[in-house]
Amino acid sequence: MVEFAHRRENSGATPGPTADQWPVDSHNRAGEKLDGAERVRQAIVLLYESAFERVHRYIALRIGFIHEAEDISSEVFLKALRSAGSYRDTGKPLEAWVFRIAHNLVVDHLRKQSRTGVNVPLDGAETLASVETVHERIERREDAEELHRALKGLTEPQRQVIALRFGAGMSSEEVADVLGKRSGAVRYLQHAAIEKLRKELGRAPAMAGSRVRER
Amino acid sequence: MSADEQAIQALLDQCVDQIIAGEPVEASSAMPGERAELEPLLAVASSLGQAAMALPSRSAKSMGRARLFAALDALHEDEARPRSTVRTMLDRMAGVPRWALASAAVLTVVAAGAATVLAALDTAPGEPLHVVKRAYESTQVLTARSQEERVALSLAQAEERAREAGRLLLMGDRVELEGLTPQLVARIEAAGSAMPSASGDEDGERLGAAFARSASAALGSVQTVAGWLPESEREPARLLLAQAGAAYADALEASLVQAAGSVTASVRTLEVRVASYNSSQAGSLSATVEGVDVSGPGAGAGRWVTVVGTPMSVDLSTGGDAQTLLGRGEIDEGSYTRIRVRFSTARVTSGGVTAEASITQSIVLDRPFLVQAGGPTVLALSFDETRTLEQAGVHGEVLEPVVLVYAYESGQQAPPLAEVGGPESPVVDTGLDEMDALSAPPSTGQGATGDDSEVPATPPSLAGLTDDGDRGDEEAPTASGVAAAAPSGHGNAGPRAPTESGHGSADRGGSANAAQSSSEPNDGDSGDGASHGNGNGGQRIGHGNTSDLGESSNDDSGDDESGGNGHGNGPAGGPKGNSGRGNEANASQTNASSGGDAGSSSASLHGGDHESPPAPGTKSNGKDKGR
Repeated sequence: MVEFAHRRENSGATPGPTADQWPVDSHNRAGEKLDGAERVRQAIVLLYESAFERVHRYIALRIGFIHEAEDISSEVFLKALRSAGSYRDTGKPLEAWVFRIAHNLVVDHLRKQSRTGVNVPLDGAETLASVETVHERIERREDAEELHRALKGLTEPQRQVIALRFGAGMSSEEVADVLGKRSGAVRYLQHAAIEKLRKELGRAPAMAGSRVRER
Repeated sequence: MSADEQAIQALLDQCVDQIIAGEPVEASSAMPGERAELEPLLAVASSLGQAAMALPSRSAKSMGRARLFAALDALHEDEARPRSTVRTMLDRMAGVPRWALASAAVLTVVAAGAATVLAALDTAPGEPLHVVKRAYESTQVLTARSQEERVALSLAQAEERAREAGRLLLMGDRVELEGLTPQLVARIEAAGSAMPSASGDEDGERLGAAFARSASAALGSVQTVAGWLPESEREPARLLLAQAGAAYADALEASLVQAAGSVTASVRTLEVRVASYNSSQAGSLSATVEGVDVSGPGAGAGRWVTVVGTPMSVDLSTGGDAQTLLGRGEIDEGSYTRIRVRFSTARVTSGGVTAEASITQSIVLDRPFLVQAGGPTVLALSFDETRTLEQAGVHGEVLEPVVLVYAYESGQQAPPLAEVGGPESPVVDTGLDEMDALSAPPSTGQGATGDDSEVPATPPSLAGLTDDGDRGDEEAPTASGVAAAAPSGHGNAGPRAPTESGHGSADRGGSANAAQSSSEPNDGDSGDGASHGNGNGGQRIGHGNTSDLGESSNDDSGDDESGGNGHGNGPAGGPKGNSGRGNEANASQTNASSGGDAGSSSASLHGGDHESPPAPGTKSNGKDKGR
């Protein structure tokens, strides 16, 4: 069975820490009090360790390019670091802010991509599926390409919800935090997106790794 | 929206939670009709879950981390200096094509030369105004009012080149780095060539001290950065360090021998410690160190002064970098450039069998250092067991120990474990086993036994930063590499010494440690940051541009179907969080494991002992290469 587990363990139960809640130093080694921006920067450095993979998955799902997603993921944190001075603590998790930055960079990237006409999705896609035959690999790649094409047919809010849910592994409530929506609206978008994908794909893809259990 | 629709959405949401948590999907609360509607949706959701499993490569995360630290350092440095209007303008020009900037630069030079030079001083290699910066530096040297000032300026410029090299290393810009290396060497040589005419006795001493400090600062800063990089990306750093180290040692030695030899110097204590890192899996090695000598201007022309003359057996299999005192000696104040370590016997244990092994009579390490008032100077010799054995082959050729030298110069406080930061790396994704950073090797020789409580650990770093192309050269040992870095975070007094780098990297190890624990796909509990260290300060690397977040752009407009409210962050005060320090000792351990694997298979110590060292009982194997 393919392992899907990649969401935060506390997802949905406890929101991620706000910038102030990260265990960063209040003073530097010289004994000088750190200003707010510096504390945010340090929190970003810590967040990098726990969130890089999820940011990458979110971006990969949005743009369909694994290697480009790596570059953009790195850029997300750099941009967050450099923008720490403009961060305003609204009581929401710091990562919600970082995913907003990720969203903006993705949109910029897609805009540039549309200008250059480059569109070869899911190059070099790798998954955790460790053992698979060539046939399975080709099939998976084809499925992934088909799925990516279908994802392009979604509206931007729908794509965001799907990428944050499945890529970043966020709960609906966390997605709502990032997008500034109500969780009900997120569930609506999620349902609409998956329904649209189902129609677009024209078939029910094989249930890889999950089955609806009968009661 | 009907209640049924809401129920389906809620059920789907629950199932998606299960899918992304890797659990079997259970729509247990679904009615039969709902299940029929859900099943095709869940099939799609499962495909989405599978498609989202793409993982970034480990190197991507490592490089991203390195760039993050570089940007952090650049921000710190930018904040520490007065920000010029011109610099701000340059930041805004970040996205402008290079040709346009170059044109603008030319015009600006004409229109406002001083401002351009001011701006150029902040530029990095590859930026259009960097040419202006170098030209300005050359002019500074040419117009210096004294030879001493000329030396100081050249040394400062060499250190600046070294910092720039660090940035380029992090950015992976080999082309610019290749262009920068000759510039670094040229600055060192310029400083050296300015020395003779300036070196009256006392002037010579003072300049020699500045020279040694500069070497520590420049080499240490590059080595620090190199330690952050994955092993596969360190080769350019080794080449640069080899060339720069040789240039420093040659220039200092050639310039100051006469001056230093004529000065009546005070006698100071030089302490030699040994440690080991990068323990080999193939076998364990122990060697008898017969003695340690040093040479350089402080010792007088062409002389070796023995610092440690009592043989001592050194176990190189302990790893962990705990240091053992090899011995102390009294030597004249002054600058020294090279260290000779003499060996007699060696034993290799492999597969439970211990056998005598041939070991070279001596090795010579190029590492300028300073002995002066203010406390004992400490030389820490850290043996790389793995590379030593790899290069000889177990039970094979003559062993030539690969050794790193760290110099804690007089007046510096030897840093505690977690702060020995220079070459340690936050780039921890190598999967190397952690080493016990606190394990002390047994000390079996006659030398004074070190007090572990006083002896800091030596960080692992680039190994054998020398090329072995000089083997067989029977002439004087050429300076071709420095496998050493002072703990640059501690009191290097040279101009613009990277005084924070030690702290920065040691702290960052906390994050690195976190990286190891959090790189698994199921990780990501953001709350685990409680055990992380965090970085303050740090050496300046990277080149940060201030940039707007750009949140105002690309908003999710047109959300007409969600029925949700718009986004937007209202002001709200978050709950005050806890603050605390990361686990720095742990960070250091992790760093030790990562940074230790720093040498390359092509690296080896060179620099032979063309003299016959006094080595009673030396096992002469006739294979000493007499480099």
